[in-house]
Amino acid sequence: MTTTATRPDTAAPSPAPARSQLPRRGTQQRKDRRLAYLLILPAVLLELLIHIIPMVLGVWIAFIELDQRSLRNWLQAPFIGLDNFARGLDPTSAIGSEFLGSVGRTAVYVVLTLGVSWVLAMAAAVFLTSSFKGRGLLRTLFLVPYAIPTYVGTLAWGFMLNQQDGVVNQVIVDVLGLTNDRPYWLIGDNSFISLVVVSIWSMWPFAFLMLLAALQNVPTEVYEAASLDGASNWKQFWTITLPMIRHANAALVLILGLWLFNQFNIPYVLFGPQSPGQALLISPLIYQNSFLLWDFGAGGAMSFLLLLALLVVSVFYIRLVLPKGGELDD
Amino acid sequence: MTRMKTIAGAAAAAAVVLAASGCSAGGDAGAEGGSITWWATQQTATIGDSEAAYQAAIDRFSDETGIEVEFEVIPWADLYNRILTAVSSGTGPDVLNIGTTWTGSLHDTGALATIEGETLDWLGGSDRFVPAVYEAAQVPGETQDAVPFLSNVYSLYYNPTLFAAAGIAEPPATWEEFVSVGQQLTVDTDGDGAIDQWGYSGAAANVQQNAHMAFILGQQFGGDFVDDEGESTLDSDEQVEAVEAYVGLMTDSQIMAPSNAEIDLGADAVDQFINGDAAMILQQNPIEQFTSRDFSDWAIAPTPVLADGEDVESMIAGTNITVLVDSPNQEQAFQFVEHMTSVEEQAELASAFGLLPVVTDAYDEPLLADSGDTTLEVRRDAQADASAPFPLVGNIGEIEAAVGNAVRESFQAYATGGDADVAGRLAAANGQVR
Amino acid sequence: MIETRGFKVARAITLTLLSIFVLVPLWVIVTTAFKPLSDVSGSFIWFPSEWTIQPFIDMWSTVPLARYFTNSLVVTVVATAFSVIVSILASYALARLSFRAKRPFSLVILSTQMFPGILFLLPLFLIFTQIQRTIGLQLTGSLLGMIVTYMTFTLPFSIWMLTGYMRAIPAALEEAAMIDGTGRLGALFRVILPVARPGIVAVAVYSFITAWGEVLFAAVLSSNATRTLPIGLQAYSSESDVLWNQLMAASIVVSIPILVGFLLVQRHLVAGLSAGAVK
Repeated sequence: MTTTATRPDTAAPSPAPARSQLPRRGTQQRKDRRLAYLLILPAVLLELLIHIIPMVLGVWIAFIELDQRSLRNWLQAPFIGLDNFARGLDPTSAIGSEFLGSVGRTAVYVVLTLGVSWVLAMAAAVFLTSSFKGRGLLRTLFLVPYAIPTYVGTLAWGFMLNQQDGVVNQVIVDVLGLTNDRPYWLIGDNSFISLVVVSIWSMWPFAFLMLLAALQNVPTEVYEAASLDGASNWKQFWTITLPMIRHANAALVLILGLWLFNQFNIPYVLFGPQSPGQALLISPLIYQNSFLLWDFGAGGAMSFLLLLALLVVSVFYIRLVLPKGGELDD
Repeated sequence: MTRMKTIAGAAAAAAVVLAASGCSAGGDAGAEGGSITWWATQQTATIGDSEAAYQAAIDRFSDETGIEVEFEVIPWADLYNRILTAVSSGTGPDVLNIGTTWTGSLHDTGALATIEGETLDWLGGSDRFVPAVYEAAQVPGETQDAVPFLSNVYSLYYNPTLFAAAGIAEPPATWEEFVSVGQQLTVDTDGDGAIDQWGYSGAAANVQQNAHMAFILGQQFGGDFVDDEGESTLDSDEQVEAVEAYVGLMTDSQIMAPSNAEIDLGADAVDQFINGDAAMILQQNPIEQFTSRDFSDWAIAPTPVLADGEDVESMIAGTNITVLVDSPNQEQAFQFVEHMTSVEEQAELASAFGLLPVVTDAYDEPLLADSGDTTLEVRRDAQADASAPFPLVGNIGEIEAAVGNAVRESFQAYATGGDADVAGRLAAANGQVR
Repeated sequence: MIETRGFKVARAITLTLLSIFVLVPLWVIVTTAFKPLSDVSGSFIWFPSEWTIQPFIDMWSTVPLARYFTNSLVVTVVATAFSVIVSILASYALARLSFRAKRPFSLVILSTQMFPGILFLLPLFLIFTQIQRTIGLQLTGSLLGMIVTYMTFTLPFSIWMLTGYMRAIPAALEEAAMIDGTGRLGALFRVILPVARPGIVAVAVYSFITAWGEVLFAAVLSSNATRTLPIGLQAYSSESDVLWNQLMAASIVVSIPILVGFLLVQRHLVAGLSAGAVK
């Protein structure tokens, strides 16, 4: 992370040069260290309680036979080693093919949703950085889907995508006359498209917000200089804007990608507890196995594999995209 | 059982209950006082209405026994998860309502307190319950841990005006008549080339309702979800035939709109009936919705059955009431169960919710006998003589999900231009069941 | 950028299409809320046959909306407040102090960001009940359980963002204060916090939105008395009826406070993000 960009609101009035009037180095460092651990203590405790310990327990669940019979005394549930994984990874079994299918589907879903959201957000952010009448209004409007709760927007979409009475088919069939048969949007192959569209609708404002913020950091003088050199807007976008906001892009892809990969709320509200097969993502599948079928072992094994995959992807990604000198390095 | 006997019996039973459950009450030995918690099922469109009816019953209980009842009305959609978490944590309420179709699964968890011998006698014995309903609350050959609470059945609701317009005098009694009457009622009323009135409407995307229909028709065809050993038989010839008959309403006789494949709420199917888009529905309890929409153009008849099939018109639907084995207040909890299944309360609750009582004598209470409720006779007959319990096996939840989802997928595949492939999907569903 | 003709045309077209995309669902929500129930059950109509505010009146009695609203507000505000405080403390340590556990701590924080919620729903519940039994602290079915959970959910992102923000603040600023005899903590509160306000606002908004809309854990961790809005609103559709107009009316009401708050701090939010997360 760099500290070179100008930011008027935080510019120091007149920083006094640090001199060795501070207490002796050694003591200060020791005090600092103690203070540091004190400061991170609350975060560590919370992370332990809510994330780490449940995580370890969740991994253990993947290795035991936890179902309605053993649930009550879950500490004594029989250990069955890798059986749950064998079931989850066997592409010939119903549960295995469902799991592997949903992994691929989720990957496509993430790429599509993220890609389109990014394009929409980038376009909106670039255009709304230029000045014109109504800019403030549009900026506000575009943030509304992020500000209202996800389930509210998703409920409305479910209402709109109804085959018989929904506004989407009304426009497609009755107004535009694109087709005679009313297509289904919440079941069958189209349900995946619907899931992507609804996800874009509620996710792109976040990307917009991040990119809008990132564009504030690109000094206008750079553009002016480029324009004088005769670079087109299009070329400026590729040679100036994109490189200058690459950290923002990297962060955005990471955050949004993880959110989308773990997506649960939107399919759950849009389709109910059981997603149609064509739109079944990983998190809803784990939910179905664990909480509708009481097959916690299978759910746990899937979760464990999912987590491993995410870890590997993220480690590579962080190495690849986030530069050295970021907050991970000292 | 009279109130006097209740109190006398309670004291006597206390020791029995405690001994039987091996649980220390850790409180006063007398039956008076104390407090218990109860998770109740939502039986009306709004939680508030359910709360009001339960509160009245609880007030009578508290007046009588001095026991306070803290209760929570839980929507059906949340109940299964809440029970699950209660079972896994041992921190549930004292008294718990469960769906009748979950009896097998919850018995398997071992989380429910046993109701047997003297405890059962004290509850008034098994004889006072409607036999078919009582049977559905216990796993054969195993210890009993639930008694019925409120009951419901599937019936045929039809629109007499649409029937008259089509020149049909009587509601269909057999499945064959149901299909042919349905075809007569499936018409294009405004002549625009598109059918706008259908014979039947159902929530074809609703897993539970699909499973229920698969079960009822399966029974009629002589099939079942499980065999005597408890192995799932979802792909048996009879069961496949039955589901093909149901899915055939859309794919074959076409009396059900393909768009029903998208309906996942029973209420939406009922809505179509109210709007005149469908002439018949098979439902458990649409009357509250009829009333709230000021809709009166309906009549009731028994669920049609296969001409030469078993007379099974419904599964035993509704709610059972149980006490959790971890409850430290078993004595008061069973007292509460006794109260809620008393003749008086059964009449009160059944009448408030439009459900059926589970205790035979409750039907003679003026509240029900003189209610003028025309549906009561039809539904009572189905409850007593023409219903079968959902299979009482531990993995019934899984079986229900598997079969209901297979039926849903068949409908949806057909609606979106694919092959319903009932046999294939049922075979896959059967393979999914552990 | 030079605003060429092509640029302006592209801008007009893109922004118009985006506006339609954003607006149609909002239009559906708003008009449905003002429709009588009979308008809602049939084909969609763009304008109500008659505008009625009845759904806005009925919704309070159909579902104990006021109670759910209060619950959501308490949970969200308290969780946000504590989450912000915890993040400030941790980020300061990460941004300014050197200690051996720094790298592992940052890695763990970052990686918990990727845990799918579904993964630890049941384990978390089991742990909560264990705590409940051991020390009697009621964590399931209570507001406290949800508060603790939600404040942790937002920690990774908040700490990550605030650390970036604090690093960008020149160290000389607080050193000046420390020369004047103020300790580290004093400098943090008197010097860093005022300067870091935009970053803190951004983190608070993020936490608030996350907690306000959470569905999955609320379904398992809340009870009747502590039910929050996302779960409570489902009660408008039951097995017996779906009251779409009241549901949409209630959706509007639950969205308005957060929407207004969001728009008020929007400017800070963009400033905060631009200095912290996206650099």
